[in-house]
Amino acid sequence: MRFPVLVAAVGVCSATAVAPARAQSGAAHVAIDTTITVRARTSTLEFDPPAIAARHGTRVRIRFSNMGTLPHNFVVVRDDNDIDELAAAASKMGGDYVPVALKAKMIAYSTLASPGQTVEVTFVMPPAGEYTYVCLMSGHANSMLGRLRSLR
Amino acid sequence: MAESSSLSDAKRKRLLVGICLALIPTGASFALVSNILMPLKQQFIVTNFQVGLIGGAALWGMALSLLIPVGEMFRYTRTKPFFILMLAMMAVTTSLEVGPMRWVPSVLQSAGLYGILVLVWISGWMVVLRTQAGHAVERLQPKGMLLVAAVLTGSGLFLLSFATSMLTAFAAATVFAWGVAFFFPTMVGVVAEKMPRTGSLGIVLTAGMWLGMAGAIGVPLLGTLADRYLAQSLPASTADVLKQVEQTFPNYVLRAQLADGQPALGYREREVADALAATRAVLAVQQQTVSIDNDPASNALRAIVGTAIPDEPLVSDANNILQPAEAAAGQRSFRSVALAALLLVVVFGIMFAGDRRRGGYRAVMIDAAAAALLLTLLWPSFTQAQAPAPHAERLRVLFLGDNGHHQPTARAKQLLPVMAKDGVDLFYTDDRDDLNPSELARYHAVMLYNNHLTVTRPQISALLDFVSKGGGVVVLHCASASFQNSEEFAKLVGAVFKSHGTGTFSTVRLAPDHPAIKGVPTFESWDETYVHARHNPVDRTVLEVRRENGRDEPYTWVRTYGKGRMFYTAWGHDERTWGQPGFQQLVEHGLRWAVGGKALTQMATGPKTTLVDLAVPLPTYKLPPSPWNTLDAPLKQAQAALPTRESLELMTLRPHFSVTPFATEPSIGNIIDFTWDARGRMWAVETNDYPNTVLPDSVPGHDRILIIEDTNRDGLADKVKVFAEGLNLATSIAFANGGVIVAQAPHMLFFKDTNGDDKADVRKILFTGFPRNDTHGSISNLRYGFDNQVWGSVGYNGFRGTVGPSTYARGQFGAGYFRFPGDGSNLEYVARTSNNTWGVALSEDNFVFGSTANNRPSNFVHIPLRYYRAMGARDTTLPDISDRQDIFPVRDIQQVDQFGKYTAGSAHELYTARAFPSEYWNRAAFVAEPTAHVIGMFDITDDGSAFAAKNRWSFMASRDQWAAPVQVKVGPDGAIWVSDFYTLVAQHNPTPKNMGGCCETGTGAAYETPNRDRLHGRIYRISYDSAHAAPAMRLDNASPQQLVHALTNDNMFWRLTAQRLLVERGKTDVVPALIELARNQTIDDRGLNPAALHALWTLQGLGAIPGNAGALKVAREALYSPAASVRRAALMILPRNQQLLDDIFAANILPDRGSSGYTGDAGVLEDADAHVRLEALLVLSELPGSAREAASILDVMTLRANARDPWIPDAVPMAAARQGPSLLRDLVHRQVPVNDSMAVSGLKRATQKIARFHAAKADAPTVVELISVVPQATPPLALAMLNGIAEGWPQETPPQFNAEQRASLVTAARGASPELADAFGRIAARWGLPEAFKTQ
Repeated sequence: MRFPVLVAAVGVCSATAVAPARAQSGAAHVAIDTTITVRARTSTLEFDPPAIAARHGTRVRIRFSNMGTLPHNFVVVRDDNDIDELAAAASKMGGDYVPVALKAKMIAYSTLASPGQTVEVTFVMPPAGEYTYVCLMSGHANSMLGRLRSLR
Repeated sequence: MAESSSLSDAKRKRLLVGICLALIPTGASFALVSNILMPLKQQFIVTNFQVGLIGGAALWGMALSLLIPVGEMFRYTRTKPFFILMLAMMAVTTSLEVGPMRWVPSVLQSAGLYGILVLVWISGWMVVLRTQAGHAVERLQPKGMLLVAAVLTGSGLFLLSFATSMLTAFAAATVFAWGVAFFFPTMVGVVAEKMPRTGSLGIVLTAGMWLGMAGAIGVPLLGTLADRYLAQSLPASTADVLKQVEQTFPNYVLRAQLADGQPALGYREREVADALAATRAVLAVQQQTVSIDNDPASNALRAIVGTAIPDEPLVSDANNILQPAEAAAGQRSFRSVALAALLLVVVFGIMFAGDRRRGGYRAVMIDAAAAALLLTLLWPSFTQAQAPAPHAERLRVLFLGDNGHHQPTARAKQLLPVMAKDGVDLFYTDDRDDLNPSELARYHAVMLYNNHLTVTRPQISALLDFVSKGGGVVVLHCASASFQNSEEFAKLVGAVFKSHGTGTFSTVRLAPDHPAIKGVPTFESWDETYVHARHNPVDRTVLEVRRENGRDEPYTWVRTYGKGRMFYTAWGHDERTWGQPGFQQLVEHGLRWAVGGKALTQMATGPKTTLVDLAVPLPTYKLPPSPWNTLDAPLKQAQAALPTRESLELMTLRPHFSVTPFATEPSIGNIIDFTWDARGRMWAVETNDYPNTVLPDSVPGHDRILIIEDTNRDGLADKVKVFAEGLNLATSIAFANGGVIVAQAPHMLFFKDTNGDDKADVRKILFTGFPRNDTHGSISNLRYGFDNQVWGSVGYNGFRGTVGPSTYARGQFGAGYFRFPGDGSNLEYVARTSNNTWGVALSEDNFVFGSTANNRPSNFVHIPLRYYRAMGARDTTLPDISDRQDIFPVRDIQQVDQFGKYTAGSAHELYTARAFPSEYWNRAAFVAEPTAHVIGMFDITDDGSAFAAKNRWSFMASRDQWAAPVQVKVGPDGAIWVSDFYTLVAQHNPTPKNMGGCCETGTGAAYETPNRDRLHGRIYRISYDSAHAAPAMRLDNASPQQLVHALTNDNMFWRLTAQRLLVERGKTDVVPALIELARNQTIDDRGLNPAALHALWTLQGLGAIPGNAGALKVAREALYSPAASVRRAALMILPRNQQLLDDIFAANILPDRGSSGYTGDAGVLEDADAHVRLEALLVLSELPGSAREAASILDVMTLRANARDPWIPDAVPMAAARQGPSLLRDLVHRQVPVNDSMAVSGLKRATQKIARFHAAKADAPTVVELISVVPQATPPLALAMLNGIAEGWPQETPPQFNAEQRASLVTAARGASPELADAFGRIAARWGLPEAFKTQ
């Protein structure tokens, strides 16, 4: 298993659609296999779509567009049982609401996206199975949840 | 658990001290009259009147010292008729009290009674009674007390005038004492409570009037009367006695002269000479007029008696004449004065009756008033310095806007705080119908900034009438183009808009000294360059012109119209001009001129506020596009906290509403929720731990449940009991199941007082599972619902855990509304909301409303989540139903996001009583917004099966930076009760970054700052000035019949309380009475039958439906009730069986093709109320499917009103889910109405949802069957069905098709339109079979 490479990029989403990039084995740090757009809904604590999937081991770029009126982030959690701990730590620290000290418990995390902002995070899909992506902004983790499926 | 007694006791004590102080001069004057003046009277031969004047003078000094601020007095007497009346009454009561008391000893003495003993008796009673006055006030209310006092005093005095024995004298004196004891304290109290704005001065004047009148009128008046009656009482023998004196007394004078003043004589020469002179004077008159003048005669007699010449029979003769005459006259004078009591009985009687009609006596503010009394009596000069500045009246202005491109709301919002600071309150409307006489009567002026092209005759007549009778009108910019169908309006304005260009310009003043514009700075701004037509120069004065190419266009002018005035300016197209201080001043000056009178010179600015330096600054935030939580310059100063009374004066209320305090710190702290028990006592959750003290269960917290009582019904809390303490982060309270339920995340707690001592004896956890890592995402607003369950809201913390049969995993129970039976045996997640949710309100027809953070001030539960989940649909998040989410603060506020919008709608109450005007009944919603210092108002109206909430600005808006209303509820009295956290910081998060090391995030996830105040907390009450009486009410010891009767009360609080008590009582003896109520098929003018509704739900709570045949029958009959809410309740309550289905069709709630011969939109029999139709569809979703139902569902869906409805397209799929896929096949064949995109979209929505439901079963034959009808189906519905299939089919579950099915699929897709082809593609992708629709 390869260690996930975390790339967090802050920027306003360009208007052009991103076509799935071709897999290029051997050049993992630049090649993107899939780009998936996830939105935070206009004014509810929900991800849209509420579930995404990609093949395990492939490199995925999440374009996280915050369409809402509150700030949100996008965090993929390694083990669902850690969500409470991560959320509590995030609430406590403010800022990007990402408890970097606990990064071993996260597969990927974005910076905080202000309302209207788009941020990106790239990571390698974990071993096949179901994972949760969540917003760790204070209090949101009880509602703002999605399912990431890592396919065989 | 100590009882802390508070305000009223303090008040009583202070009043007693004040009275004691007042008794010092009183006592002195007693001594004067009894011990000094009586000898004086004989010494100097003066009349009773003169004695009275001298005795009264002793009181004048005191009175004058209190009446120093005479100028102030006149200011008040001019403006406060009530105060004048009270002063006048004070004069009369004084005459009744002080006058007779001063004379009691001498008069009774004359009658041969021990007068001084009677006086002691009276005084003794007064001391005892005045210390007990509080209890009497409690029973009678102040004005009732005054009434009773007047009756008793008058009667006592009357009886006293007939007293001939000590026994009768004492009896009469007792009655007199009981009356008179309460006059002074109650009069002073009433003035202090009703007119706190008169400040200490009111007390001074009232007390001064008491003393002054005692001195000037009371005592001398009685003397005068006694003189007159005495004179009339002199017998004919008087002349004989006097003649003998004339002959005899010169001898005594001579003897004395010879004896050269030797004391052995036993008399004084001077006295005898005086008596002789007086006698001769009387007789000299008699010589000329034949009769004697009784007045000097009585003086002469008095002088004769006064000589006390030993053994002279004439002295005793004179005394024998004088004594009975004095007694008779004195007693008669009492009788005359007693008549004055009649006047008091009338006046106080009217006042008392008036109070009863208005809902009982209401104190305005007593603590300060009682304190002022003390100060007044101690330091009269001090009060002069403390006398408040005169209060100019705030100007109330109706601002008429519209929803057009000028954005009047946004413009008015710019003006709102500027005007409020200067004592002008704007009330916004965009409803022209508010131009009606009764509404206009509430305002000083109307400001028009609207683009309504037309106006109706009644509307324009009302406006013109308002102005011609003296009202002001301000016409701004585009309003000169409005009301084009009214020539009279054009004349009123003085010209109409003709055309415009644009440009940046300034105006030229033609009349710079005109009062409407004097001192207003000119300004330059971009604006439209208006040109006007149809000028009406009559009574018009042009103040400014716009000069362009040497041509002057009138731009700002004034006109008079009847007794009223009009101000117009063409300025004001958009925010560029409206933001100019010059424009704002121009409008304000113009407005003041238009209102006229004092409005031009006086500004009602309210209490002065001061700024203080803050140890830690207040963060302010940059607006987008700056990233969220970007700090702007922090505020290093903030307003100092104000006393409650001053804070309340800074509130702008809707016209004719008043605010009065109920309880304040230090008796209470931050009250996060409150409710009332069956006795009408307030139960409140006081939180000291919110938001950042999060403690484990093992450590007692600092939150308490308080019982806050107003025992003497003076409107102020006077007793605070601690019901339970040691709580941590308790957030809500509701009565249920014989005790109280308290929300304290993570638990739902139950408390019960088993022995009636107002202390919690039973404490238990009902269930647990509310996370609390962010304390503002917790539980709020528990309420006992119609369905006999406890409702509440929870923020984004949600719930995780198991309660009875229900288990919720992470993500299944987020923010929203829930309900549970009072015993905690289950927990239902009823509705999902978008975010932190606080407000919960029940309407009178049993809809559940609430408010959510972040731009969602009003929502309601349309369909409980269980119906969505039953068909495997995604949860619907309740949308906001408000037309605009703006807040309308009247001062600067600090927000992190949602700038200018609702961000913390912490309470959402509906007006469910009848003490406000009818436009509030069951439709006004009050949303508390602590960060904006306002209670917003919405008008809730039906919108099909949904509701619309029209933003009606603020119900209350405070200029106090500390005001933070968090809870709003309709009280047992029909008034609105508010809890104010009274803090500078109500905002929870985020923690400000980079603000000089400030601040930390607390354990409750709120940022920590000392500006989060813990010392203050207030509960106040907002009432309608002309509210009708809410009779005192309590149900704690009510009989079952009384409880049933209370279901008819006009205040939903009492109806729900009675329902709860009947259900908690659990006895079915009331079932017949309830059936009787439920059977009633009338409706009120709101279309409601509240009694029948509550009767049905009470029967449900008692298990009588379906258990009791009579109850079941009446519930079935209720399906025919004219009240939609009653029909809906019956649908909710009746058991789900074939009978109910038959009843639904029989009652024509849903169309029944079999019986009605349905052919289309026309002639269909179905319920007129969309809420009822929707509820019936939900019933169908709980019954087994049948062809009859399927036909009905199809007919419902294709009716245009249903297709266009907000929620019926969601309910139809729920009902359809119990039917086979054939319903869907039939549906997609139905025609869709052309040119009605709303109906088409509803049909598509329902179709897609039904398709999604069937596809989710992953049954290949069903799907093939559905897809195969696509070529024949109506295209938009076919598309919706395909989309539903694509969404519903489970991911990664490729179907297996046989050859025939594959062929059907290919056939169905052949020749599809591009839109449909796309949809086929999505299905193929979902299946993972890209070639599914392609020829092999």
